Amino acid sequence: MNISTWIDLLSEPLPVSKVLPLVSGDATYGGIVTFLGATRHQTDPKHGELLRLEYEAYGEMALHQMHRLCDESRSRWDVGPLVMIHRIGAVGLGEVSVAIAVACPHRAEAFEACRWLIDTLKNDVPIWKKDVFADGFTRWVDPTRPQS
Amino acid sequence: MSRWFRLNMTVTILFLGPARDLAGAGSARLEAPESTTPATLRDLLAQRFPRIAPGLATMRIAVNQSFVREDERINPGDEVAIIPPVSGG
Repeated sequence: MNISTWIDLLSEPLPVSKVLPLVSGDATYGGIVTFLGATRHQTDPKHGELLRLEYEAYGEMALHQMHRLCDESRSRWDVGPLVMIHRIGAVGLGEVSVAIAVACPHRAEAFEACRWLIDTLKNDVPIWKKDVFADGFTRWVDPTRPQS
Repeated sequence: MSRWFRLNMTVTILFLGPARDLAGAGSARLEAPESTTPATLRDLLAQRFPRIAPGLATMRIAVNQSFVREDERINPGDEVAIIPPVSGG
């Protein structure tokens, strides 16, 4: 009866190859959408190349919030198996910092649910990231300031 | 000190992410009146941690790991956390 659900904060590289087996294979679900968020290269005019991001979380609350989002997505859409994993600690350029996957009977709701989950995670889950630049300068990413 | 504003409970506040740098500490114990709410807590925090004051309006307050309304009562022993705008993902 338990629908597969994998919600986690991990301090090692996210095992993305383990995501698809969890959300596929059940003939009830014909639409499966996955989202991977990865660290993007950027250059600061003053501080040079971005070296990495450093994520930190208010761990227990972050997990609670992720579970709440999972429950809410299932009350809004017909969401079956669901994966929501987020990396914590230092994340190098191009590495995956977040993975979300949902399986639904049809693709429309799978796209909607996945989009809603990543958007809401970025607003309501207590996780923060810091930019670390080549010259050693670090700064918290301010989500209230538009990024280039 | 006014008898309408007796400081008679201690609340432990957690400063998360950018708020920790602004407060200069990961946590602090704050004397607060018994009828404290997030709204009144903001005033106390702004006085004690002036560097956090300018950004406080954009920060949310979580009690026992849930976001709460500004008029919710905070009780002794509650885990109160200052949550600046999050930047996960």
